[in-house]
Amino acid sequence: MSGPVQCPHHPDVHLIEDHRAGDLVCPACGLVVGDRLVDVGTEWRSFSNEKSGNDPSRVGAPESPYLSGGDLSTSIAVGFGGSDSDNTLANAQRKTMNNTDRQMTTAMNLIREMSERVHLPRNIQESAFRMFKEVLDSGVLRGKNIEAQAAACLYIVCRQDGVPRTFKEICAISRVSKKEIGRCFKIIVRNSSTNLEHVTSADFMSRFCGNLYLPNSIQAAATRIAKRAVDMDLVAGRSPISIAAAAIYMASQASAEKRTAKEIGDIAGAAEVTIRQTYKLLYPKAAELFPEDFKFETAIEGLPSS
Amino acid sequence: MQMGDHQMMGNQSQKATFVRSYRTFVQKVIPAQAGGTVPQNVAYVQNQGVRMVQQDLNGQQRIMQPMVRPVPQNGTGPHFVRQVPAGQSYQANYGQGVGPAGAIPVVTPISQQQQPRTMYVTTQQGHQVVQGHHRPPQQNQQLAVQQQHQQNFNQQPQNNQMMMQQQQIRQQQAQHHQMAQPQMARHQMVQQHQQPIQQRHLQQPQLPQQQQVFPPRGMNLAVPLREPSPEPVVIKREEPENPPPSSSMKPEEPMPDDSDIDIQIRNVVCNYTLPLHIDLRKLAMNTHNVTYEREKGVMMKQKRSPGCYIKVYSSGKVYIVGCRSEEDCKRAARSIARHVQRVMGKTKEKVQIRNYRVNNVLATCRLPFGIKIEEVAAKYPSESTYEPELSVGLVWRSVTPKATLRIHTTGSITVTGASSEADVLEVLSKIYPIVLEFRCHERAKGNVAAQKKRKRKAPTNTRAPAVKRERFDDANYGNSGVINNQVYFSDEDEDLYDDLDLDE
Repeated sequence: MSGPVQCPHHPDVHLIEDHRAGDLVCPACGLVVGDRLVDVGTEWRSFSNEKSGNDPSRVGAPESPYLSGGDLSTSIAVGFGGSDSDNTLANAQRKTMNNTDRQMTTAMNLIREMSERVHLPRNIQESAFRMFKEVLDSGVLRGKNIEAQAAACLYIVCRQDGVPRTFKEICAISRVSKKEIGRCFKIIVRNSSTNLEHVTSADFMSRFCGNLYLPNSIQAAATRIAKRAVDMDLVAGRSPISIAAAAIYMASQASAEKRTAKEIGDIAGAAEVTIRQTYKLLYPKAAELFPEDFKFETAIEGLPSS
Repeated sequence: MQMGDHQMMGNQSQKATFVRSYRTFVQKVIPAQAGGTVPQNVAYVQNQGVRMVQQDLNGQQRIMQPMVRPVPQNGTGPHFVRQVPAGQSYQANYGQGVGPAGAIPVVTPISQQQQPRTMYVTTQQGHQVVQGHHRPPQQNQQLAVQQQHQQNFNQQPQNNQMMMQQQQIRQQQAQHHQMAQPQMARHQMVQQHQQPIQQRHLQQPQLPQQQQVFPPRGMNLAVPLREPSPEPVVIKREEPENPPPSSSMKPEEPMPDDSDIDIQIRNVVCNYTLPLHIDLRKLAMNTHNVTYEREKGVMMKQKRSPGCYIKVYSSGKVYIVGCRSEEDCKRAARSIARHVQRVMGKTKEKVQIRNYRVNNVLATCRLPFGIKIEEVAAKYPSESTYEPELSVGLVWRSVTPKATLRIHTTGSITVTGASSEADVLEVLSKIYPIVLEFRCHERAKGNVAAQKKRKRKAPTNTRAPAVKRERFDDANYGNSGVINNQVYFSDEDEDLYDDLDLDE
C-alpha cells in the first residue's frame, strides 16, 4: 500500500480515528478510509476488587531493559504446595535460562525485597537495578556473594541520590556482613570511578530523629550542633554517624524529650560508648554549639558530663 | 687498613662512622677501641660469598666485601642504625638529586628548596646516621649519599684516610656536643649539620661520596619510646632555615615539631624457591623448632635469631614472614637454604635461591602533626579512599611505588604492600608534602602521655599490638605476619592479596 492513508476525495484532510469501531473516517465526506485498526492498548484493565480471581490481562508486566529478553518471556512461578510436575517445570525453566538473566532476576528480587523493608521508593530501586546490571556486565564482582553485590549497589545508589543509608542500615536489611558489603562497595567504586560525596551528619538527622520521635526543633538543633562541631574541629576523625548520634544526644538531653545514649545507639547503629566518647568531646564547648534560639529545658550546666 | 666502619669516640658516646656501600645487605659495625683505626680481624664477616663490585667516582672498580656484622654497642640507646644498601637513598631531600654518580636518589624531587633535609637511617645494631652530603654549589642543601665504602679506603692512600678519620673525629666530637642536647633544640641540629657540610667540602675533591658522618643517635629523645621496635628507619628532617610556607596553618598555631620522623619497619615477607626436591620429613627431623604437617605437605619453623617464621614446602618453595628488615629476611633466607642444603646432603653442589622476592614490607610512621584527612580525600580523589564507616584512616593507594598507605588523622601512617624498604621511604617521601599541606594541630586521640606510658610497659608486646591493630582491618587482611601471637600466613587467607594489588 502507499504511505499514509488519505481520503481519495480529500487528500489533505486529516483523518479521524474511531477507536470503538476501529475505523479511520474522513471528516469531510464521511468516507471510511481505513478499517480494522489494531489497538495496542491493554485488553482488560483490572481493578482491585474482592472477586478478582485471576488477572484476565494477557499483556504481562512492562518491558524491563535490565533483562536480556526485555522480560518478555514467561517465567514459571511455583506457589506453595505445588506439585511435582510444577516444580519440574520451574526447574526446567531455571536451567535453561541464561546465567546473566538468572543473576539479574535474583538480584532484582533481592533489591526489591531490601527496599521494601525500609520503604525505599521505586526510583531508587530502578537505579539500583541499573547499577547492578552495569556491575554484572563488567564482571568485577564475579565470585562475590550476590546478596553482597546487591546490597552494595543499593548502598551506592542511595548515596548517589542524596539519601545515604549507613552501612549498618544496609546490613540490617540484608543478610551479608558489613565487611562483605564494604568490600564489594570498594571494588565497585574503584571500577566505576563515580565520585561519591562524603557522608555528613546532616544526611541522617531526619531519619534518626524521626525514628526517635523527636520533634523538629531538636532535630534542627542537633543538625546545628553537628555542623558546628565539625567546623570547630572538635571531633577529629570521628565517624559522621557517631557525631550525629552525639549531637542528638546533646540536643535531646537539653530539651524535654530526653533520650538515653543506648536508645540513640540502637537507632543510629553506633555503640553507646562511642556516643559517650564523642559527647565528651562536644561537652566542653556545649554553649557555643547550640543554636541561639534554642529553648533549654535543661540548662547547659545541667547537661550530663558523659 | 680498611677504613673502619665506625669509630668509637670516647667512651661516653657511641658514635659510629659508617661507610656504606651499594647493595650489600649485611651490615657490620665494629667498635674500635682506640678511637682511630679498626683492626680488620675484629670484623665478623657474614656473607663470605657475596662480592660486589662497585664503580667508584673515579672510575675505579672496587670490590666490596660484605659488611661486617656490627657488634651491638652498649648504651647505644634505642635507636639502632642500619646500613642500607646505598642504592636506596633514604633521604627526603626534596628538590635535590643526588649528585655524584652512582648514588641513585630514590626520593622524588620536591621543590622545597628551602628545606634541606637529612635522613638518618638507623637500625638495631648501632648508631648510624647517614648525613646528607653536601654538594658544593648549594650550600644549604644536603644530599644523602648512602654508600658503603669499606673498600674505598682500601684503595685510597693511607694519609687520606687518616685525614678523613681525623676530620670525622673532629666532626663527631663537635657534633656530639651538640647532639647531647635534647632533640627539641632544633637549631643545634642545624648547626651540627652545617659543620659536616663544611667538612665535606674539604673532603669532596678526594672522596666525593665516601664520608658519612654519623652523629650519635642516642640523644634522640623521641626514640626511647620506640626501643622495642628494632631497626627503625629514621628520616631526620632538618629544620628548614626558612620555615616552609604553609597555607593551611593558622598563624597562631605553633610549628609542629618536625625534627625527627621515625619510620619503623615492622614486617618483611618474602618467598623464594629452592630448586631441589626437599624431603620434608627428613628436614623436619633434623631441624629444631619445627612443625611438620604431613597432610598439607608443609613444614613450619620458627627461627629465633632474626626472629621470623618460615614455611617450607616440599616443592621447594619457602615463605618467610616476620622479619624486621630486608637484610634480616635475606639472612634468614640464606640460613634456611644452607640448612636445607646440609640436611639434604647437597653441600657439594651450589644451591641457588631462585626467585627471591620480597612480597610485602609493612612499616609504620608517626608524623608529629595531625592531618585533616577529609581534605586530603577531597583533593586527591583518584588515589585516596576515605570511608569513615569502613575504616578509621584514609587509604591511599600509590601506583609508583606500589604501596598502600593508611593515613590517620592523628598523624600516623602505615605503609603496607611495599616491595622494599626503599619503596617505603620513597612513598613516604612522596606523601609527606601532600600531608604537610593539610596538617593541623596534634590530634592525638586520648592522652598522649598515657600512650607513651603504654609503650614503656611491655616492650616485647609492641610488636603484636601494632600488627594486631591491623589485622582486623579490611585492607590489611592480606598481610602475613605475627598476629595475635599466631603466625598468620596470608596464603591461608582467601582474600589473598585482596588489597595488596600484587601483580599476578
